[in-house]
Amino acid sequence: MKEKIAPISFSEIFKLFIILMILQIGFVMFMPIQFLNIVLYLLVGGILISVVASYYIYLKTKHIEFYYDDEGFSLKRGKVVLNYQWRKTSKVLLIKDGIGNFLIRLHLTEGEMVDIPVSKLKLNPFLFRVKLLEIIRRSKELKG
Amino acid sequence: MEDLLYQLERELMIGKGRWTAEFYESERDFQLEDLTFDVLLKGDTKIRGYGLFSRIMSFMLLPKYAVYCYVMVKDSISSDFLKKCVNLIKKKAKVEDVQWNFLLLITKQDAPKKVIEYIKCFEEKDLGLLLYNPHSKFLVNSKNKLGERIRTCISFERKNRSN
Repeated sequence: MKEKIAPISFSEIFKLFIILMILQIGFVMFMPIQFLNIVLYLLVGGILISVVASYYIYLKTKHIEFYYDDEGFSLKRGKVVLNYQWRKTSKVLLIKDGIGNFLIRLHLTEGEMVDIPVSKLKLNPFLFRVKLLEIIRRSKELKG
Repeated sequence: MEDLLYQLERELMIGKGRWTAEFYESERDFQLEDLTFDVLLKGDTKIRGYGLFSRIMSFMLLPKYAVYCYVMVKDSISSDFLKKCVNLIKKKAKVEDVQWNFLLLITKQDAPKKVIEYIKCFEEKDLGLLLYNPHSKFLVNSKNKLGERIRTCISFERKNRSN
């Protein structure tokens, strides 16, 4: 049974909401003067559209879902899905990026690298890395 | 010991360690020739805040020295073993051009006097040494700049301080 980690990032949704609102306010500002009496309705409608559209865009493009068990893991971001097996991992690094977010970087035996965005998954990076190391060790032992 | 390693990594990467260096990479069970270090932290002295101003100031004012911090947990440590660690770290620093190195040793048993004396008298500029025993809360660090620096970065529970 795969464990699922997929928290909703409200900050990402809020960023999209602000962008959509700015676009709609810009659109309303350039409307002819005859439409002045419906501007308020357009803005209220704009808020509703922005809330729904930002949530939809977030789910389709930015939402991260991480599934793992003792065999391997799947990382889904928007429509892109990556599947890997733990036993192919040669090195595990904990990386802090330029804005203070933590990633767990897995070096695979084929020379590939995969980053698990632990901060975005709202996990404790230090504890989760230790847990992953334990899973990888067990997985390698099982496969000899 | 896992708790102590967790606390050390945390303090160095996101806690007080950031006053010394920006550690941005951590590796467990790092192999250096025939020695295995429990943690190797890599970073540099370009400490970055999250604001634009702090980044500009950091870019303009701070030097960019590579910094490595090695952490090892052992039951006991002999002076020969310590000298071997120091030599290997210095060799690696030379190859990879690392200007600042730290070696944190965590022992379960009390260290011999010879080891303590070696650490106290250690004066090389590019390596700071620190030895800590979590059971007796004994802590000793080298008296060079880097040794003093790393001691201030980590809040160990202490009974005895070297200086």
